[in-house]
Order: sequence, then C-alpha cells, then structure tokens
Amino acid sequence: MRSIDDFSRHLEQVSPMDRHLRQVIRRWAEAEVIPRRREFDEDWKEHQLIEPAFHKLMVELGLQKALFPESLGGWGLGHSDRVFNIIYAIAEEVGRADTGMAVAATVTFWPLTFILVEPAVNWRLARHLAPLFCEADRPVFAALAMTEPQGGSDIENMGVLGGKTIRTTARRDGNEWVVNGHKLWPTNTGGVADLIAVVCTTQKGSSDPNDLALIFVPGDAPGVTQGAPYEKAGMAADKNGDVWFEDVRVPLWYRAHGPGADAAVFRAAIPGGLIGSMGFLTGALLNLHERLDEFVTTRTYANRPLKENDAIAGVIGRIAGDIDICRILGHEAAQMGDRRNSPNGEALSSEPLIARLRNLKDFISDRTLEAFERSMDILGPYGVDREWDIEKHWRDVKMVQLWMGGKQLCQMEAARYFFNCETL
Amino acid sequence: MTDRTDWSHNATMLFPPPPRTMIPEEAMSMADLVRSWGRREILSSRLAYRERYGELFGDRLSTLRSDLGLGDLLLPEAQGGLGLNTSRMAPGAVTILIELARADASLAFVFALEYALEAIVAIEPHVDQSCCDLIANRSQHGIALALPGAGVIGEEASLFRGKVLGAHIEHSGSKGRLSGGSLRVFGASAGKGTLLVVASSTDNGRPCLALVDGQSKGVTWAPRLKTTGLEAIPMSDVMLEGVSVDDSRLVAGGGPLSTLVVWLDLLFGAVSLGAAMDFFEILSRWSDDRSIKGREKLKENPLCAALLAQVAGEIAASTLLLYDLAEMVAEDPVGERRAPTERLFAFAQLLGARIQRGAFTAIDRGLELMGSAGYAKEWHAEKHWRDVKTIKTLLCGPGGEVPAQLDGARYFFGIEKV
Repeated sequence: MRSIDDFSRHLEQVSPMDRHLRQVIRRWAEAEVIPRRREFDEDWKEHQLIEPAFHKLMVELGLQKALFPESLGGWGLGHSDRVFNIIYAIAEEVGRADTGMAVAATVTFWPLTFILVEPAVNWRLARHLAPLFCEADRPVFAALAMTEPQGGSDIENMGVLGGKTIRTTARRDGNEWVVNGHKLWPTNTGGVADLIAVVCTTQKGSSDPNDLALIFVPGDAPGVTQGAPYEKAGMAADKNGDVWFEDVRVPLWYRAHGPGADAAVFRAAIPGGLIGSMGFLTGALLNLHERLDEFVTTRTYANRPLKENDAIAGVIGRIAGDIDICRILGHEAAQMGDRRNSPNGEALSSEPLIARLRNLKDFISDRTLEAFERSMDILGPYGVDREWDIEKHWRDVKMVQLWMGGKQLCQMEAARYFFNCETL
Repeated sequence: MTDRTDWSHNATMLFPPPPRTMIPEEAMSMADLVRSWGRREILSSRLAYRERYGELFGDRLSTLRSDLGLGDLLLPEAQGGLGLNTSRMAPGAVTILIELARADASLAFVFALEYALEAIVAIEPHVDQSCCDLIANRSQHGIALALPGAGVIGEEASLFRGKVLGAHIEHSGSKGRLSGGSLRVFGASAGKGTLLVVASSTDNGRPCLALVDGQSKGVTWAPRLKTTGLEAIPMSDVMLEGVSVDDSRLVAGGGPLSTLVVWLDLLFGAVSLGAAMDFFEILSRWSDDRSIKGREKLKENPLCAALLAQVAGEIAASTLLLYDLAEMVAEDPVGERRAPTERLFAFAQLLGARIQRGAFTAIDRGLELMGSAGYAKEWHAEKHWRDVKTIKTLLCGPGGEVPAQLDGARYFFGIEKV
C-alpha cells in the first residue's frame, strides 16, 4: 500500500535528523491536532483548542527555541548547513495536520532569521531574546510586520521599489528608536505577538537600502496596539490583525544590524518565507492524498470503487502526479536555500534565487489549489463536508497562494529575471 | 469611448441582460423587485446581516415567500401558484434566482431546490395534483434532497447513470416501504414539515423519487454537518428504515429524475452566476482605489487589468451559456414519459458544469488579486468563493465532472458501454 512517504524527494539531500524529526512531529500531529482540527475554525478567536496543541509543539517539544544557538539553550539550527531542509520538513509535517498551525509555528522563526542565521548573527540580540523563547513555559510567538494599508506587495518588491512605499518610520532619539506606523496582517498578531520585527524606514519615501530598518519591538511595549484578529476564510490557528505603533521606544541596539545590512537580511529572509510556504502546501497535499485515497477506495461509481473507473482514475492520477512533482520542487527549493554557502549556490538575497523561488512557490500554489478543487469535486457532497478534512485544507492553503505578494509579484519577478525586463 | 460612469460597478448594466422576449412579464417584474429588495434588505447592511445571519436568514426567507411571492413560483394556480407552470418559465426562474443570489446565494439555493422539484410535478401537461398539493401544503421548513450518489464498497446497488440510488422501495399494494442507509441530504434539516425528496429504486431497480415527510416514522437524521459554504443550507446524513410511502408520493421513472437533474443544472447555475455578479461588484469597487508599485492605479497595470478582464469574461460567458441552456429547457418537448430529451440532458450536464466552472474561476481569480482583502470575511468576497464551490461540488456529485462528461460522450459520440 502506498503511503505519503512514497512521494518523491531527494533522499541524498535529506538531513540526518529529518527522519527522527518527522516521526516526532507526526506523532504530535496524530495525537494533538488531527483529532481536533475539525473544530479549529470555530476556535479562531479564543484558541482554546489550538493553544494546547501549540504548547505541546513549541514548548514541550521545544520548537520555539530551534533557531537559537545551543549555547543559549536552543537547537542550533541557525548554524546548520541544512536549516532550510529542516524547516521544510517541519513546515510539511505540521502542515499535513493543519496549515494554520504550521504557519504560526514556523513564522515565529522568520523574523528571528534576521539575527540568528549565519553569517548575520546579532549576538547581543540573540542573548537578550533567548530566554524569552528558550526558557518560556508557554508558546511564544514572533511576527514580521511588513504589509501596510496603502500597498500589499510593494514592500516586498525590493528590486523595483527599494522600500520607498514604507510609511512606518523609525526615528532616532538619543539612545532609542521611536517607531510610528500601522501594519496589517502579520502572522502571529491579533494579540498573540510577544515579539514583532517591524520593517521601517528611517527616511520616508527613500529607496536607499541604507534607510530600511528592521527594528525588534516587544509585543506589549507601550504604544504598541495589536488589534483583534481578522475573521478569515480559513487558517484559524494563525491570527492576523492590525498593529499600530505610536511613539514606541526601544533601545538602539534593537535594530537587527544597521544601514544597508538590514535591507540585505530582509531581502535574504524572503527565500525563507517562500520555502516555508512550499512546505505548508506539500504538507497539505500529503494529507489530501491520504483522505482522497480513503474515499476513492471505499466509495463506488457504477458499483465499482471510484478509483477503478478509468475517467476518475485519470483525474486522481493527475492529482497524485502533481503532488509528487510539487514535493520534488519544494524540496529542491529548500536545497537551493541550503546551497547558499556552497560554490554551486546563490546568496539568499540574490535576484536569481528569489526569482526562482517565487516562481516555484507560485507554481506549487496553483497546482495545490487545483488538486484540492478537483478532489472536492470527486467527493461530491462529501467534498464540502468538514469531516473529510479536504475542504478545510482548501480554505487554508488559499491564503498561502495569496501572500508574499501573490501571483502578480511572482509573475513579474520571474519575467524580470528570465527575460531581463527593464521597466517592469 | 462610451461613458460608463453611471454603470460603474453595476453588474446589471455591464453584463448581458436577460433576454426579455423569452421571459414572461410577471417574472421580469419579480426579478426587478427581488433586485431592489436584495439591495435594500441585505447588501446595504452586509455586516449586520453576516453578524446576525442565523437570526436574519429565516426572517428574510419568510419575507421572500410571503411578501414577494417567490414561493411556489412554478405551481399551478389551483395550488396557490402563479400559474406560470410551463417549461417556458425556465428563463424567468433563472433571472429571479440570479437577482436573489446577488444578495445571498443561500436564499437563492432554497428556491432553486423548490423550483426544480416543482418542475417535475407541476409543469404542463404532466401536472401531478397530489404532489403539487403536498408541496403547496408543507410548512416553511423546506426541501431536503438526496440525489443519486456514491455507493459503498461491497454493496451492490441500483444505479442512475452510474450513481447509486441509495434508497429502495419495497411494494405491497399501493403502499411502499422505503429503506436506505446513510443518505447524504442537503437543503433542509430535520424539522416539522421538511419534505424529504429521495432518489430511490423500485422493486425492479428502476429509479423514482420518493417524497416523504422528514419526520416520518423510520426516518433518522444524523447531526447537521459543517460545510464549506452556503452556511444556511443544512446538510446531514439520513437513515431510512421501512418508511411508509404511499404511491401518490412517488414520482416514478428515470424521466422525472433526469428532469430534476436538468433543472438543477440550470437553476444552480443561476445561483452561482448571481453570486459571481455580486463578487464582480465587490472587486470592481475594491480595484478602484488600490495602487501598485507605490504610484500606479492597480487596475491600470496591464497584468492586473488582464486578470480583471478574465474575471469579467468568465462571468459574461457563463451568463450567455446559462440563458442558452434556459432557452433549451424552455423549448424541449416534454414527452410522454416526462423526460428531457437525451440532447437536453447532455447539454444540461456539460453546460451546467461549464457555468459552475466559469462562475468559480471568476471569483477565484478575483480573490487572488484582492489578496488579504479577498480572504478576510469583512470584505464579503470569500463568502462567494466558498458558496459557489459548495454549489459546484453538490451539483457534480461523487466523481466530480466525470459523470457529466460521460453523459456528454454518450450523446455526442453514441457511446453505449460506458
């Protein structure tokens, strides 16, 4: 009998800890998430069911300290040559259970990559923040606050705009930064952010990379207001809301690095977001296979199993084929990230790498949504029944397709890179 | 260049209008009334409607039945209907449902089910007085429908075009006993007066539709299920154990069941299209004040403009196809056996699927452009995305579009064994 582990990936690139890590997370998922996830949508505001599952994953299994160096109580993933493959494995295994949880858990890593991943480690901030994550007895969430009301994908469009649309400002006042602005939609806000990395400018309207600043702000600092979470089509375990910064003061050393370096690590963090996104998607696809297989094996058309009808087999065969292809591509994407320090690799902030990864994320997103849509159709009235889990995944993964600039930014960056466009 | 200022964001003005020559004046007036009502009662206060949906839905439904007279549209006058019970009402029913679905797809869905059932038992010249009385006299609890569906491995069952007839009637004299396990029903829940309409097989394995009271002895309802969209439309599983059914409550033969499928293809298409039209208006307003790259109006960007055009194109194409199908339904000769022609059935299946795909694609692509605004409930766009997907999936049934494709292949290519 085939299982989800029969879907392809480059086994020679898999990290030695991959198998063990996946087994641990899979056991957690089977025990803590899969039996309860059908109730998660109604739990979007209170997280009464969701929070205990987070606690097990992030505190008891220790996921929230994974990026911190061992010397500071973490797992040391920040120094690993396979950090992206490992994060991919985590994203995929948690995503198989619930995409929202995968997003919330791994996006906590995302702003921490600015200061914990070689070679851009900020030891002062690392030492200061380590106790928050490594010694906590509750889940701790970090958010990356990028998007602003006036423009969705513009802030990420660094190649063309260089941050000139950013309106959230960081003004130096003595030994402090004073942050003012309004951000929308960061994952892990809506009242849950313990730490927020804010993408600011020190000079409004500037496209000079020296003026982009990444400032860490405690989620409960005076002047920080986290609005209530948005009610969404899915992704209940991931809270998103407005965040306002009104004269928020933090020490100068709360800046990730400094002029120029902040823009570089911000750009270098984009691949992490894209690779993680692909992991969420292939994780959901693996669970799709499990549930779809059960349905087409046990239910009939013309008194034969659905899967034994040639025409239906054609549809589900294509679905399985797409899952396999997406998994190969997703793992290759992770490998592209891990190649960053090798002679064959490209720097994380490089245009070629980002363009390719955006392209892959766009491709996998589209195939994922198609696979879910066709599967829901195959199931008929069971396809929209939450008891079969497929429709929930479908709602959840739609958000993955929409974020990080969405399809249009992906298409433009791919065109820019592959066709040397000059005016896009 | 035509000045479209007055039409901005207005789907009624921008998309192909209903073909008025095909639609009775009463139906056009009703559609205009429903449009105004929808704007006033629902669209002008969307947030409040969403927040108090459980409370307001039933209230709005009652108003539509009693004050606007939408209930029993296709019933004969003798049963309190408007006397528009001919297949020529198909385009009129479509137009009314489109306007209602623009306000709320679930409201339109309720009436689509009713009209589809009325089409089987009330359309001239095959008026089934007993069934018409039954429909007219039921309470407000609606219709729950169990269509042919997926079978269970190890259980051999009678089929309707490949799909399992989940219930079976054993006859004794003029009464039958209806039994069937775990039938998936949608449309209404267990409640006094709910009419349960079950696609069944008779003693000789032939299809029929059984109309039973949802609270009859032997009917067991499982708890209501959570579904993707159409939040106001219940779905659950029902067990039937020896439910007594009088012959007068049976609509026998594959013809009526085929007619039901044809009208569902048509009327569910109208519901999805109405939802897509409202989505168009939401997208149009949203795209008006969004910018891209810090300076450019989003819709003036060629890439975004092309995508917006795709949205509009899908809706326009689906509109034309829907009215073409309505015209085919209106003109199809209703034969001795109350069956649609094979031609109509094939077209209904293929076009029904195509219309659903078009409506869904329009909303799906538009949602992608809207990004987070499309995904958040406060913009009311994601509701249409979930609703139309739900309608499409319910209409397809198990196997997805494959059974409809096979129906088409049978007609167009004379295929016999599939």
